[in-house]
Amino acid sequence: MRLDYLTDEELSKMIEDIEANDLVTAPPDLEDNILLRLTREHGEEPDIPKKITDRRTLSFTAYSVRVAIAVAAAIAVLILVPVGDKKMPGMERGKVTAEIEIMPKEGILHIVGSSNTLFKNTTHFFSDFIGGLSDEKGDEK
Amino acid sequence: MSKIDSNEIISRLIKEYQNLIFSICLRHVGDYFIAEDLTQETFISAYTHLDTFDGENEKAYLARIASNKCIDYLRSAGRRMIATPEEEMPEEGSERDELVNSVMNKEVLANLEEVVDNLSPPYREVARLYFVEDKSAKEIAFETGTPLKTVQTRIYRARDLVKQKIRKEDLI
Repeated sequence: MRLDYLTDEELSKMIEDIEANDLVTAPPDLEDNILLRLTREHGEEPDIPKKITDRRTLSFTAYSVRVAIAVAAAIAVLILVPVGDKKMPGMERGKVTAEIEIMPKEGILHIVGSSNTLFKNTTHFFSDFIGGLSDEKGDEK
Repeated sequence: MSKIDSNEIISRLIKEYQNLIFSICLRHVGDYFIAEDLTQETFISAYTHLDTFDGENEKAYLARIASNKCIDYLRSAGRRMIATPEEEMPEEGSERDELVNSVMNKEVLANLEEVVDNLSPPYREVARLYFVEDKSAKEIAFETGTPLKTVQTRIYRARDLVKQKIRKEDLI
């Protein structure tokens, strides 16, 4: 048996009959599903998935930048920090310690002397200043 | 017609006529899930051919697409079926009358409800809210306090279970 297409009259009658007696609710999410299919089949981006895609692209970009910075930092650390037995010239422990110990005695005495002189001068200055203030008060009286 | 205009028109058509088109498809094929697919096909076809539509009588335009798609489906499904002896075949006139006049959509939904009620938890609750109470996945997620993804997965699984049960019943 071959089922033919409905005539316009039959179709109108069916629409009337359904609207009067047999109208049922379409499945929920039907509209969303149709729009999603339209997007897939016609290559258009619906609003919601587009926003999601944008966010994903953004986060991926941010992630790439972070990875690039981390790689650059790692390379810098590898270049700048000595690794293993490799020593910087003039930085041997013995030599540095010796340089510290070798400071001449005269030099130390000179530094101490300079400090003492500075201390004495400061003390004199303050004594004179306070004495001056006391004399002024006595004159006023 | 620009794509933005087409999108607006198709959204409006879906909102306005989805129940009627689904009912027409259901009347033709008598299967909830096939009717759902054919309804989607109808609106997609309408969107594709919007340029050729004269803008008059949208309802008749959509109903014509839906009916023709359903009859195409029935023809192709008929080709896949085992041939029936001529004397056991229903007369074409009676089948067409039934198609045009019979009230069968509500029977199909009553059968669907029965199958849904026989599902096991947690699919029964979700399927009932979705198929019987016509609530969207978002509404169900909001009402039950379940994550949307979980609800969508359960609906998907429940849909498969209901489909299998209904088709098994049809075979019996």
